[in-house]
Amino acid sequence: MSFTHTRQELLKGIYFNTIVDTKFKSNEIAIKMFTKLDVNTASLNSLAISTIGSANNTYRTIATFNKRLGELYGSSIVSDVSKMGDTQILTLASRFIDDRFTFNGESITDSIVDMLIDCIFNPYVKDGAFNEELFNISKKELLDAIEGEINNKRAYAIIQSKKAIYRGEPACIPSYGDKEHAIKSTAKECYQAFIKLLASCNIEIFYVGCEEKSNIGERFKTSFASLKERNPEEFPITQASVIKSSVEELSECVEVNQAKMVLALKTTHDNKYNNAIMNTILGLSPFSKLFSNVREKLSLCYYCQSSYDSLKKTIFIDSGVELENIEKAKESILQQVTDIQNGNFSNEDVQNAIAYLTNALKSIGDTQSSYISWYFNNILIGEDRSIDGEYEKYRLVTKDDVILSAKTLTLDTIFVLKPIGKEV
Amino acid sequence: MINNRTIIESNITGDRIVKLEHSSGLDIYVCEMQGFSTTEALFGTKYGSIDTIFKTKFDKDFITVPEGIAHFLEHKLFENQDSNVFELYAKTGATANAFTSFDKTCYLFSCSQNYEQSLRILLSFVQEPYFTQQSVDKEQGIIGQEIQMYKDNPSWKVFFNMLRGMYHNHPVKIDIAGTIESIAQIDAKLLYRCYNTFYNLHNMVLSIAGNVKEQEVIKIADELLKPCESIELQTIRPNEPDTIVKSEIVEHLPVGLPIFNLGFKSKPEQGYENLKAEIESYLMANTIADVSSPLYEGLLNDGLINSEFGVEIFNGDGFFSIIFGGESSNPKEVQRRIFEAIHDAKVNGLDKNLFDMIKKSTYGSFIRELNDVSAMANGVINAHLSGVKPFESIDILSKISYEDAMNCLLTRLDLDKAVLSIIE
Repeated sequence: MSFTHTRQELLKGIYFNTIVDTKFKSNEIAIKMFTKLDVNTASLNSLAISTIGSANNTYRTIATFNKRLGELYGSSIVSDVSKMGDTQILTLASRFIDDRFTFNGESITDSIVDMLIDCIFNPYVKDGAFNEELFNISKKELLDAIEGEINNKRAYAIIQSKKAIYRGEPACIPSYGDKEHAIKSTAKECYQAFIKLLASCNIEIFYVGCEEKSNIGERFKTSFASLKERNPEEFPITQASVIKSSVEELSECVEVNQAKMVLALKTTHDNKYNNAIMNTILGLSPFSKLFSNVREKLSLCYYCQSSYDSLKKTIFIDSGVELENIEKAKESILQQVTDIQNGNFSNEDVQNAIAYLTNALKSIGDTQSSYISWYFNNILIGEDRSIDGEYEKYRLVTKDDVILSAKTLTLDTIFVLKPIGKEV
Repeated sequence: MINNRTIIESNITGDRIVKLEHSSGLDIYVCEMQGFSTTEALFGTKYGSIDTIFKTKFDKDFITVPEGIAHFLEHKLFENQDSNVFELYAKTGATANAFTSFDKTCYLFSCSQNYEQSLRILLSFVQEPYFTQQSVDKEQGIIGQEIQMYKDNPSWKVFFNMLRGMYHNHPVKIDIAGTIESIAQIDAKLLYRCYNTFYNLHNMVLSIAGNVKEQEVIKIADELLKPCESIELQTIRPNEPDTIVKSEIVEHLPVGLPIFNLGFKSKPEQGYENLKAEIESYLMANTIADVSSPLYEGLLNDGLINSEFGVEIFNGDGFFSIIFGGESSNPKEVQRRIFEAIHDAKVNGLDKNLFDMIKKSTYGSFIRELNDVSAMANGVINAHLSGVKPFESIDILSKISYEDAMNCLLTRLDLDKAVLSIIE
């Protein structure tokens, strides 16, 4: 892997990252604005990024905006909302082929930068409000997405469980906000929220491409300099989730054939490398204890996996099980946790988990988005990590470290999505 | 030993793929991608859920096997006599998986280290079946849960309901995993019969891309591939009329908004003609329904669709359909407007500017795929199993004219062969 990464402060709280890797045939620009996740602003921010990512004052309709992108060899401009811990991340990103592959050698990079800058600084606005039509389409899109959460039962169970797992913490709010705030939002409020967001959020801009394009950073700098009152908020700090004093059990009945169960366990162990290895042995990998025992030996489910949110220090275990087998599955899942706490695993399991995580680590840089995720995560957690350095830290994890990590796990919440009309 | 070596090169990007005809009967494609860390390999057989009636030169008569057996076999190959295959991969750190589709089954791994070791595992376990009645019984529980999970997936249901409305006899209408009842008929003997028929190296292909060296692949192939005699495999499909079964199918499941698939049954093609028809159909249908089209704009502005709306071409051995799908509060009105747009395009012609834009945009998306190790490895295996060469898509795209798209519209979008499937 041969590449260069530079990070330059354009203005206060606004940084421009350039990653050059000659192997790529296309380029990517991502503008990431991040702020504290707050129920009063989450929906508005989400609607704002979606509205500015769908058209602008130059290309005023979704059709003309996308026609222009099509002419630029099917380039994309997409908006996205996500969260990491207690932080809301609003992204406007574009992917486009490198100028080398255009038919007549025309430059499309400059056109893409024009469009992105227009989206942010020249949105389609009238009388201090986003264009009503564009805003209403974004609003419908968001409300449809919220209503449509039920379509994917596995994801729905996780969304619902998080509301209880992180109750009282910003992380309990879905990244795109909630239905109540979305319904009552107006085009004017949304535009005002966007202006406020631009004035207060932290911003990281990424360009990942096959060659250096020095003018991109300068163009963003000039544009952002036009913001008169900008006062970036203190960097949002993520808190580990609070462990409940007793296990909370809750359920919801919907029309499904298969029940879904989510178990949340929280840890107080501070070493994230130990926690990550422990989670891999428990249920992340197809050689994990959950896969080998709950799925393969007991045939209780098709999927039973764990994932680890290092910022909130929480492990999620989710599975799809027949309702009559829920208790048996829960017992077996918790037995795997107990087994790790009691050291019932081998040194080879630890080495395998290190190899598994290293594999993912070493593939960073094979896609533009993996570069962006890696460097953005570093910035968000405030660490200047290198891939090799990270590998070394995993390599040093021992079986005793894994036991230490597992011993601090506390069962916090159990959520079950149950089929209507089926009783156990 | 290699009987024949061919270099396949993209005229546009200069990417090269080497095709090796191995003396064992297996075709191997190696795509060395400079600068990438990841290696992805797929070992696939031309055997999917639609291959339910077959014979070889050793069989007197055709045999009909239970629905879902190709998928069952895929699950069972992951267990060999001594251990679970995932335990072998665990030592290398590779991420391994497999999938069964309508017309193929593929076993794959992705890794960023020790690819030689992972390739050895892949080539070994796929050639070493080990089935017992006990392990078959155990798998019925796991696959039973997988079937239950898909029953709760409205996107899956809406698609298969559409296929059932479209095909009288073609096995494409059956669920890839079969049913609880059909998989209950599977036993170890039947699995061996299917394995010995379809997992013959003459019916298989290996595609490996990314951080890989051709000579290493040859060395491992020479070491591990077991020469196979061609068994003159024949599969037959039941006779399929060109009419549809039912023009509308509605089912109730919990969804946010109703979801729909509007599919047009059309004449199937083979090999090069199939790929050409696929790309023509993609360009033509997107000229009618792309986000830049008047149809899309009208539907969006009237609140009848959201960004989930799109076009898909679904084609393979003996089946071909063009599908418009999405979410809508009123799918029947969406159907009416699509019909109207099709009728208008047939009478007045497709929008030439839009067609040119869609063509340019599709070219850009083909170029972007060449950036990605996984897309490359998958693209190559799909091309081979469909009877075309890698990179052929870009060549075909460049040759498709407006007149071809018009001809495609007139022959492939027959309103009498449309099936509307709705989940509400």
